[in-house]
Amino acid sequence: VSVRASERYTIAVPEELTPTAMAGFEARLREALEFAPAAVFLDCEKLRHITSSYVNVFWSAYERCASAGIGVQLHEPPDGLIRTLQVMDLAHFFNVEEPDGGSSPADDPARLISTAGVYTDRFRPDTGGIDAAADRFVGFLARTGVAESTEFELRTVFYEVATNIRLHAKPDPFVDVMFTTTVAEEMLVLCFRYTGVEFDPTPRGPELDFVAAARTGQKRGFGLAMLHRLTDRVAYVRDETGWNVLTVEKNRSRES
Amino acid sequence: VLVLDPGKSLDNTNAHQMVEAIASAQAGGYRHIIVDMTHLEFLSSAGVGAILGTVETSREHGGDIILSGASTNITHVLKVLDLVDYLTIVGSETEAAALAGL
Repeated sequence: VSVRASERYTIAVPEELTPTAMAGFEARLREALEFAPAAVFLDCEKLRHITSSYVNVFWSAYERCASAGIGVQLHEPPDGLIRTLQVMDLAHFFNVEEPDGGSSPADDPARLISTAGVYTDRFRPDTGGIDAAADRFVGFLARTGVAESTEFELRTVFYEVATNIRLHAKPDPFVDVMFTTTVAEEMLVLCFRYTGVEFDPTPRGPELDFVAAARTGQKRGFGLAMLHRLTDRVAYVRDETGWNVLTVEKNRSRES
Repeated sequence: VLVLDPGKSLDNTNAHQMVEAIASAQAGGYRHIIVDMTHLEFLSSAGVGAILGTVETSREHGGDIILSGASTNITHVLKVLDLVDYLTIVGSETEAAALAGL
């Protein structure tokens, strides 16, 4: 697969998110989705003041492009935007174009192919919603060619995270959990965005000794330790809009 | 010996039933309890807890919780949790029965 410069499609992100400007942006995005290029470039040259609204614009554009198999790359993103995306652990979803003289990720087909392996879903944070979403997720994984053991582990990870969200974050029962998975050659990234109270699952690492716990008769509280054992990185952030973002990474190098 | 079959999934929805069933069996004098995992396709942390939380009690009374027929995937997860050497895991219910002295 080769990626040519002509397959780029550039959309200028407006300096201010006025209704008129957003209507223009939206029209260009729809046009891009119809044109189906290998990658959409979001030109951030005019951006000055980064607000959470911009993050929503970028994330929405990313999800729509990703579901159409189109990579997304930011052109000249201001430092504030990069930092904001990094804090929210969303930066890896966007290929940031290198300054002049650097090698652009757009010239590296693998990077764009990687970003095209994206799955998005949304589900109600209740038992039925979680089970149905888990089945859909497993169906997706089966089509990606990941090892069966990885598929099984990730189904468990999905269930543990979603159940933790339901039980501990106590999200709005009428607002869906937004779920995205990015499949790259070397890594799988699962991202959950949800409402509810702040609940950071990252401090409880893989240090729990399951045998020692069994010897004390412990029956509960294994979920987070299991999540950490089955993955390589768990990150959490509560964004400016009050949504929780939980990201889980699974290294594929040990797939059997 | 009592055989318990959790079905296709041992998770938040039925883990408490498994704990209750094992506790009830132990109270009724059953020393060896076989958990037949032949049909088990999914094991969550709640399911792991249901098993782990009852093993020591069985062993203290000279018995055990014996897991039989677990799939490769279920066994893999137990291995990741460093539990395969601690738990008694066998391939079939026949092997489990033999271990239980039947």
